[in-house]
Amino acid sequence: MSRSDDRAPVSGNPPATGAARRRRLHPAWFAFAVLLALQVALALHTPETWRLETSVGTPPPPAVLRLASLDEPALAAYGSALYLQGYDAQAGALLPLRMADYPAIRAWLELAFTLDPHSSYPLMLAAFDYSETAHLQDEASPANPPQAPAILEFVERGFRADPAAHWRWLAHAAWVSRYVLHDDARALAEAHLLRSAPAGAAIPEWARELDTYVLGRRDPIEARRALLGGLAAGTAGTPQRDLERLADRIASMEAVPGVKPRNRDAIDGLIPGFPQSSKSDDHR
Amino acid sequence: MEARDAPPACAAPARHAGRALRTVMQDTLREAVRGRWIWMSVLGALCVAAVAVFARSLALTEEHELALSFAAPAARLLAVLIVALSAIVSVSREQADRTLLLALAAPMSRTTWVAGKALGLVLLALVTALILALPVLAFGPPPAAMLAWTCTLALELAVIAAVSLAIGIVLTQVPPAVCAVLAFYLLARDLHVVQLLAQRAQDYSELGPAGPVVQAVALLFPRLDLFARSDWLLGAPLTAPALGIVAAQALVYGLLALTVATLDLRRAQFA
Repeated sequence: MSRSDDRAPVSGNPPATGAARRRRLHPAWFAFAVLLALQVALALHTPETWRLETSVGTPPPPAVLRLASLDEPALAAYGSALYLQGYDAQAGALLPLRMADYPAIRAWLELAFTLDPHSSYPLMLAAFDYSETAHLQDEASPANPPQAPAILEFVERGFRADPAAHWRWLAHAAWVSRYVLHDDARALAEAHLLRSAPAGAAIPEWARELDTYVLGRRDPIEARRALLGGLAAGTAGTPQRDLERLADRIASMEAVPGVKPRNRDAIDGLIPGFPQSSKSDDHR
Repeated sequence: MEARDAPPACAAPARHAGRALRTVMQDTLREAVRGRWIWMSVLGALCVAAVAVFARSLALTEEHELALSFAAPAARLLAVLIVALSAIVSVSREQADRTLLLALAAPMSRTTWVAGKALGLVLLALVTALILALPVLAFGPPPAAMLAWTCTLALELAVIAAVSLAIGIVLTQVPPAVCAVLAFYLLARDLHVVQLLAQRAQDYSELGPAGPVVQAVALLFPRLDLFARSDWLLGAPLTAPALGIVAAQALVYGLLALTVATLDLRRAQFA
């Protein structure tokens, strides 16, 4: 049967001309439009199953993640860190970190560090983010075992594993111990770890003298500014993003109610090449 | 149809075989180009770049390392999929459309056909590796590490192309061949992790017998986990012996796969 025969109407009516055929849409087009509208309506009315979880849950064993990532430990480590980092922003809401499950968070940090001990990312999260918020939880519920010291201990262990790669975050941890936890003994022990690191670790002098250069200051903001200045001016190769986050943190510390915020440009002036109108990337 | 492994009774058989080899290789490449293989590779490279840029946007520190740790595995996985699918579809189509019969009707041995097909697929693998390496290169890894990564990626893809050719000839149908190649790739990349787990499991009596079995199975697979390692791009040291082992592994396993393909094609009887 030819193509034209196939299209001939069974009723014997004359075949539609080209223009008439174009005007009459095939019924399949209507079916397509109706079904597409139904699909959109179904998608709009499907209930969301997201709910706010306060615990990030138990992490999988490192071997499972290595298998799942086709033996790419760096990918598995960064993926774990990003999963943990994004956990406080879920279901379209921010989970207050003082409500978080810190033993589980520490387990995820340990997992990321076990998978890739060369990466400082989990140590950064521990020293710069979770240690301070864990302390808030420790203060709110003193009956529970304290979590902030355990997180700082994780940073110390990371430093011992590779001092050259991770000394920056131990310096941050010492600042947290001294000015947030008010645990001077721990802060001095961490400063001692920095001082007694092997000479080949290429730790700058100001960091080896952290107890006098940073921890000796009475004002935590001044101490943090000294840390920023050391990282920006006295340390080659400090990532620009780290300096920006530290500057943002100082600015947010200065902006507490009742305290006149200092000029952010004065902080930015400590960082070579830092954009004067940089936007905060702190998500907490 | 009778097998034609005997050299044709014409003058200069070596020159004739060389011409046949070149023809099969060119046909393989031409067919891949017509199958939009280049565009698939370029699209894959764009996807890799998008994944890496997205991951970098989430980073709070170590942006370059994080982007590289996402870009390199994604590029490698996409390259493997593109090469494996191109090779399997090419072989299956030759068998389904009977163009393989047509080629073997010419004065050409089956070994020459397999060699020509393999050469075309290896060239395809090389170009795919170069295209997929571009988005990784954009994130500024150390030049020596990038060179080693790209070269070993090309070798890995060449092994996959040879294995896909062999499996495509043996299984003839596309779906089982694709499943078999993907299973082969997963095992070749992960078996040594399973070996480590099995060695540890020997401490537990109920898992003890699994160790020797896993070790025996692992002997049959290439160590693809040694190829195109992302940690080279993140600063891990490169050693010449390690690269030598990778090159030797690619050569041995590639030739082994081609031998299997030749043996199966010699065995086949075409009705």
